[in-house]
Amino acid sequence: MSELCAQRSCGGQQVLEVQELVAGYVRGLPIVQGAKLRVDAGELVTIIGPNGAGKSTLMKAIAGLVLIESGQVLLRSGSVLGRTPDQIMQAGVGYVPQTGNVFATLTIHENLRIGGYCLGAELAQRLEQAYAMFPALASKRREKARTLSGGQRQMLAIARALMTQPSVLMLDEPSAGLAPMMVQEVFERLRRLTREGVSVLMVEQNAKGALQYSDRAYILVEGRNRLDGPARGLLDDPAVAAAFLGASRRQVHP
Amino acid sequence: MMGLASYLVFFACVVLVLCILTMGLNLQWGFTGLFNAGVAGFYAIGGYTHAILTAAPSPQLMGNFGLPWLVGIIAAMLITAVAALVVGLITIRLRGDYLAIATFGIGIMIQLVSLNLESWTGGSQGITRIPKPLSTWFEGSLTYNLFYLVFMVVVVALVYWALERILSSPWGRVLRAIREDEMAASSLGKSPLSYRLQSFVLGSTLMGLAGALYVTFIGFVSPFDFLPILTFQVWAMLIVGGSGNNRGAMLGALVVWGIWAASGVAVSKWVPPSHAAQGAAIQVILIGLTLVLMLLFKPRGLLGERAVVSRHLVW
Amino acid sequence: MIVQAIVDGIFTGAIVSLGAIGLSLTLQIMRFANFAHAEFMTIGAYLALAAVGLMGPGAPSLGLSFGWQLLVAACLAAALAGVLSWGLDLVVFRPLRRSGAAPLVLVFAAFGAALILRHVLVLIWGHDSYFYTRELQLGVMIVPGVRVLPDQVFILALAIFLVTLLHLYLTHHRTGIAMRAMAESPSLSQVCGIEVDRVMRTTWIISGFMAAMAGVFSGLTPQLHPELGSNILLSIFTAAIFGGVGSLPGAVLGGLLVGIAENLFLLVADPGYKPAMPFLLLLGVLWLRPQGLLGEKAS
Repeated sequence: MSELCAQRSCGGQQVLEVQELVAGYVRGLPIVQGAKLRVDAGELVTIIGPNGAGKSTLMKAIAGLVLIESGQVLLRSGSVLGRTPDQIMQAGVGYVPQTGNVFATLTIHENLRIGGYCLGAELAQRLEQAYAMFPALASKRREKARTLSGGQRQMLAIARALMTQPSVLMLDEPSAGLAPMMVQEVFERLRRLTREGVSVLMVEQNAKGALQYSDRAYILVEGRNRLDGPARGLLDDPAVAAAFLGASRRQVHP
Repeated sequence: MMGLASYLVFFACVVLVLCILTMGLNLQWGFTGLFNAGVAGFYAIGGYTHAILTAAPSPQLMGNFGLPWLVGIIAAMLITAVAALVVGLITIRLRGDYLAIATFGIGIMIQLVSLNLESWTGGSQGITRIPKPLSTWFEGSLTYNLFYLVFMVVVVALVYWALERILSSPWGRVLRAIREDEMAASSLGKSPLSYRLQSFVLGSTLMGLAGALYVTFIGFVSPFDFLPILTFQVWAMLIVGGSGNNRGAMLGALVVWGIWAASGVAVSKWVPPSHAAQGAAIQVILIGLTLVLMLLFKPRGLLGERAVVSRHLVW
Repeated sequence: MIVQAIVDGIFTGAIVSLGAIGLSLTLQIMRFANFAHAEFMTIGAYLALAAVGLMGPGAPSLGLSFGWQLLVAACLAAALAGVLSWGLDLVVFRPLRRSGAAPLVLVFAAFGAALILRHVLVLIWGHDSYFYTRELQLGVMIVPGVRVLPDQVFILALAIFLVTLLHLYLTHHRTGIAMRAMAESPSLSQVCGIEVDRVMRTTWIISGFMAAMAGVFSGLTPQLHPELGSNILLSIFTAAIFGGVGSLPGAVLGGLLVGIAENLFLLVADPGYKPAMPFLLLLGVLWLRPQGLLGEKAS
């Protein structure tokens, strides 16, 4: 087992729970209207749903970037409701937004350094671990992030978020804009991360592809939970397939 | 007593001119959210245009066409509108503080031109012998000034009424909608940029009008009537009175100009002439403090309808 | 003539660059136009004057018009100006930000602060002429037709030194990199755990320090007056925007280009119209390429 896993007790304990969350950008106009979810240790959980369902907003709310009007966000350490984004990061949540998820004007090395901003002596070690995990980044470490391809940028964004060794990694549409090969690689990496003890929560438009790699999934419609359950079950359910998986025709072979 | 009456009439006329100036700024800032940091510049364009067109001919100056007063007023408004259009076209689509910087530059440019284009503006001497309308009807300056006071009250009332009508018209409603939620407004097919530009030009036109009315009252124009501190004072009037509200604008004009004049009197009484510069500095510091403190503790101003808050906070 | 103008422009440009750097940083990181920035140039100049007054005038050395005392005075003044700059944020801008004020309100408060600061200086020192030194300098002919003052060369060297130092800080020091991160994306920076307050504090201090340094040395030629900073505010804004807001090399390049343009302009135009050149440049850059020469296109 890797060192990451040794630091946390892997097993059925839940690492993140969201209860009856009501959140939005403007007070009084919530986009998320009572959503709930749970992520257990070592799981890969996906949130899918139609456009405008509030999936991204839900994730941003958990990360502390969007106003939460009511509800609860619980980590293992307790409630993080009302905390600022940096406090939530400190509590063990890593967040990779869909856009603007790397610092384009900074070099890869600087991006990682900023990812590990709060680290002390362990920064150097974590940097080496990051480069070991993503060799493609190591060879370009002095280059600015804007020179990276879409797939490499996504890897950098993930590496940046992993610098703090979060217990939960949240990603907003990690496959967006990527070629099918890259999409596969991203999902495989995330799957590998869960085996190393990092729980992953992701929002995805590429529902079919995401479900093939996930343990469980939630379907969010108009800011509320519609359906949830084991990913395999949702994939095989014809009603779900017709309603939510038909739009995405990408075949990602596991 | 005559001295006091005379002074009060003079003071009131100036305040009324400033009311128009402030209402123009209110349209730009309070109703449209545009930061015009060159108020003095547009005021000056109006004043100088009027002066150049209406002043009695003078051998040293190229202008001074001696045209009728009304022509001067209208021309002042038109020329200022054109200037505002040019500035606006370049900057309206940019972020707000770039508009501030650009209009700040305009203010400086106007001052520069007024000082240097001596053959037209008279340089630091300015232009004199600007005719006052209907001056032959009144004997003595106090009687004339009283007439002008009444005249100004009528003009200000008209401007106030016109603005209120415009703001409650469909155009005004769209403007408010843009201020509240730009995306919703543009989804209705209304171009925010075009409305902002119109508002900017209209507001500046009012400033030009104020300039023309001011130089008419004073009878001459010089660059020292349009210093950058004036921009600041007008902003102070708006902030103190409460932006987004024309009555607030007028109250602010009265209060701020009152503080300025009173502090001027106090300074001239208590500060020896050898320290005149320091005395003037005290006045400015006083206004500056009034403003900054107002922003910190009473951002709505005295009559303001809404705080100048932004929805989308980063920190 | 033209070469002399360009050379003079480089020297003027060095001062403008130092002023523009701080402004560019605050424009990008704080996201508002700090109209009070130029006053820190003036504050720096007068503080240095006070320090020189205390230490006694230095004997000129190395062919410069001043001695090492001015340099020490400049460093002290700049450090103090940096702290004052941060203090201004604590007292005025931060409370406004916390209460949710729109960025334009901050601009307005900056205007107010600028006026207060400048007139406090007038209150203390008046409008009288002050000099650091009464030494007259002779130009040295470095190339036929081009004269250069030793003071000018020193200022350029100092500017290069300071800029290099800042560049190293921004690329190697944790807080420096954090500043660049915040300049690009405040929300991503927060997610990475960057303490916003600490980065802002550093930005204000650096900004004030640079401005003050620029102010002290622009006060060398020929004298100090309370409008020292505000006179070149427009040039500094132009330089920052022209070069590309948020870019250190951009601010430097912008400063040099503005300096050169101003001096070339003087060859053909009336000196009274000097500020017109930066303004025209400003309008041009806002119209054609608002992100500046080296800036990133804003989303």
